[in-house]
Amino acid sequence: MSETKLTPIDEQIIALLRADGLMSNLELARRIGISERSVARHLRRLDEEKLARVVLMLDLAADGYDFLAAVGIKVKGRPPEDVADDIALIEEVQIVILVAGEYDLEIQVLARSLGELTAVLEDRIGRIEGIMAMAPGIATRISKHEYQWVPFT
Amino acid sequence: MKPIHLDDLDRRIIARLGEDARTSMRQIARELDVSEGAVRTRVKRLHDAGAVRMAVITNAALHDRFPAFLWIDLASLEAMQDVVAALKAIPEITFVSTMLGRADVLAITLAGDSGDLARFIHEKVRNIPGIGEIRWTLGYGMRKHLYGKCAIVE
Repeated sequence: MSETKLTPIDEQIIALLRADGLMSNLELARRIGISERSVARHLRRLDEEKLARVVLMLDLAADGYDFLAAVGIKVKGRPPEDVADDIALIEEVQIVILVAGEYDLEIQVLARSLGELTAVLEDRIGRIEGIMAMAPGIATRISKHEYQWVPFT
Repeated sequence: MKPIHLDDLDRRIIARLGEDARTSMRQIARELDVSEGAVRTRVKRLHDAGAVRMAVITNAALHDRFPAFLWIDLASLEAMQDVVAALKAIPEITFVSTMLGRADVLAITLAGDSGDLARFIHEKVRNIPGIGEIRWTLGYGMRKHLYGKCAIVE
């Protein structure tokens, strides 16, 4: 990705959009001191080269998700990558990360009820081959939840 | 926040804005074959309810860093509020929550390697009054990372 790093102007555009995601191209141009056409060109490049995006996020509670579980998973007898890909197919699973240490994977699971969470953990994830142990923790009060960096698809 | 009712059109609009929140209402109306007014009304309702927020995300592949999980146990539970506030104030920390199971508090940050993470913990986290044990886990690969849903907090 070396050829597609962010330029100083990209950084300025991103900072302004972080404050106001709907700021017009004209206003962005005025604040930065470049032409509106140049702003449009930068925004197009950010999008096309998958560098940055302005997105809308939906609140978990508004969508009825009362439970977010952070689950550590120990893998045995299969490559952690393969187990990770199986887990990633489950819709309620938001995040799957390969980690080094006590656990092999860290995942985050959303559920609307404790029953739903248990069903996902026991009936879906628990049946995947190669899972030796699961350590679930439930987020009781989330006080910061930012996604400034994510792998783009 | 109380759950709000979201019908199929709401969800399709949210999904579209989840890809690109700067898409015009007119464009969305055209794609979903509904009136621009209908799209505008739906989006306004979501914003007024505080059910959605806008964010700029950058591609993690640019940064060459991975999530690191800090599992924090407190020296005393009385310090909970202050510890959470102190963690929240650290810009490099992107997620803070009190936990039931595994630790008292989970904080997530990004780190390039274990030295990077050890320095960060030592300089910014270890000294917060009330923190007892810190266990950490460092990621080295992301297999899935959705960002369409998050807890909206002040």
